Amino acid sequence: MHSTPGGTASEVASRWQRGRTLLPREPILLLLPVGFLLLPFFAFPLAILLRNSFFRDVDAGLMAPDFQIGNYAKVLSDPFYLTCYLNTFGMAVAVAALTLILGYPFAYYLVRFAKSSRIFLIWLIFTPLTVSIIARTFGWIVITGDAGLLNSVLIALGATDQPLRILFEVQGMTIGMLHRYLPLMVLPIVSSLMKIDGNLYRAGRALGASGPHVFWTVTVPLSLPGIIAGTQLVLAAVLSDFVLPTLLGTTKFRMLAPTIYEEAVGRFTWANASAMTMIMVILMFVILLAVTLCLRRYAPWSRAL
Amino acid sequence: MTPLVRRPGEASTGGASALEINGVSKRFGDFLALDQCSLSVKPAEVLALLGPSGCGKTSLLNVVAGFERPDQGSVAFDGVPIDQLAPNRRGVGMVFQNYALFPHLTVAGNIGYGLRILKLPSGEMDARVAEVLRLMKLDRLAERYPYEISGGQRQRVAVARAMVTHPRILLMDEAFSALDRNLREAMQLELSLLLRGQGITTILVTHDQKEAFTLADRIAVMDHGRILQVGGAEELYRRPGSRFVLDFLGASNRFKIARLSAEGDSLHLEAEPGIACCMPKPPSGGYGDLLWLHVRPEDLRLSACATAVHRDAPATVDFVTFQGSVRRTVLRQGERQIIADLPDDAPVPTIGAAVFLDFDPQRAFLLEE
Repeated sequence: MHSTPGGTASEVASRWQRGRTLLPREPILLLLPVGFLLLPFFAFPLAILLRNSFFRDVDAGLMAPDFQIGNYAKVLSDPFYLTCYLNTFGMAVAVAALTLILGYPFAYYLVRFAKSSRIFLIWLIFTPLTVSIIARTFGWIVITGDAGLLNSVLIALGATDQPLRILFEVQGMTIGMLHRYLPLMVLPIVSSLMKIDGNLYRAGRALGASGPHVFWTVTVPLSLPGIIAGTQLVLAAVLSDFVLPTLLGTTKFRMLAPTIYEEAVGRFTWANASAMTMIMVILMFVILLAVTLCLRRYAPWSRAL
Repeated sequence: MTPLVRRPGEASTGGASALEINGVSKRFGDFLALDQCSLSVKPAEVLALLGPSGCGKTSLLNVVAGFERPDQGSVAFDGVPIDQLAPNRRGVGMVFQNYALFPHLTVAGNIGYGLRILKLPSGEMDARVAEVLRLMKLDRLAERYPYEISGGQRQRVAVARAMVTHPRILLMDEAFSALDRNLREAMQLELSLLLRGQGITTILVTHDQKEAFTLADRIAVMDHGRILQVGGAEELYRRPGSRFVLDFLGASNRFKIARLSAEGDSLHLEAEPGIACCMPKPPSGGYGDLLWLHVRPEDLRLSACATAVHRDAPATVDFVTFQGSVRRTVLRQGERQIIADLPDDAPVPTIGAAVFLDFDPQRAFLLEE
């Protein structure tokens, strides 16, 4: 057999093959690493949560094993909890709408007109993601507080006599959420706008459409998948947000995540908290599924983009 | 057949060009994309802009469509300058290389896009969409989305969409290059018939000489932002004004002229090595700077003994390949390579044989380069 410095040709070949077996023979095994994380630390706790939601809270602060839907009945009928859900959903829809209004023009400018500034603008939208949410929140507190930067400037300019109540109100929480979740809206829209062939704009113009007409009949429909993805991300994020309602918001406008936390940690009503959580998880799943199905039904082309 | 498209000649005040491009220049940074281009297109004429990529043909099309503003020069439709008009006010129809069909609209939706902007009564709109669908044999695909139809069908939709609004001029940018060869040739013939049947004034941009020959009444050959020569296919092929036009339209053999003398109406020339012939004098201009004799491969014939035009220094047959319609024969004469495309019913040359060239001097031509 022909011999080479590294061994015989067949030895080299088999070593080469062994090197390539880093890829598993069954592609499904590629899911294993993530599975190790998700199964014990996500799916299993969720199953426990589901089980707990049918248990019964007892005064001692423990749960009695049971199988009853009393927790669900209570959460879905008590005005306190219902308000909490309504507030949270209203907030989610409002933040999604506002981030869309703020983010779409930005994304459109970034994709269609920014040339040398594109990298900078993408970096700008990414910065909130690079700073710890706690640090950012304290930044917002300094700016929006009664004696904060914003109110000082407004009073100095004579725009107002009294400081505006922003911090520890819905307004403060909204500002914080807009800042925090804007990237989640902008990035999917940017990616769907980037996929639009530039000749489509020209085709529209050649067919007699004005610039705004092309925008509304070509650009917006074709960026719909990005708008939907961004909206889903922002909805999911606001629905589960704990930090901003707690640090910037008010207990007069109750949000879901802090309320669940209070139920579990303050009042030790674990079963009730579990039911609240399950309702939120199910609602979120239903919304995401409904939106996806609508897109598939009314925009069948979106899967072929 | 009722014309789908308004014939620009009918609308104009008689005799004017449908399109007049006058001294158009366009610079992108350091790159001169268009250099003093002038061109006029007659009503119902199909004109091809032919040239290699980067020659400026697409830039010129974009200037006509209004997507690029020229640095100098002007464009007029039916004698009226349109330089100040936005693309959507020019009334052009455009077919893009990748077709640029709206992916979110059905075939009927794509075709109806321009009509909806015209705000036609819905009855007339439906009738016009139906008519063009039938004309382009797309009836059964009306409700399909672009991703659900084939490349050839997409091209039909793109043409239908551009024609249905009755544009003054149809612009086609490399509209066939994405199709494979058989389909491309079939579509070219079909479109050629359609454009002539409907009398649609058209400019088509292509780098494919065959496409230009198949579709165009006249061809403008472009290179480095300039229009080098405008003429019919045969005129350009048989009487190219420059080496570039000659080479771009097909292969050629060139022989350096050693001696050139005029005798009455004809030129007597000797080209190296061993070629001598008489040719008609060029109709205009001098001939002192004509240094090269060019013969197209299909005009060459081979002979075992000396011919009227080739008396000594025979060439050797290097190899022969069968190309379908012709037998391409590569000859060697010293360092020089000569290509002859022989009819396939002619005797097959023997490899290594010494042969003499024969050609009709009427079909040869003289150039400076």
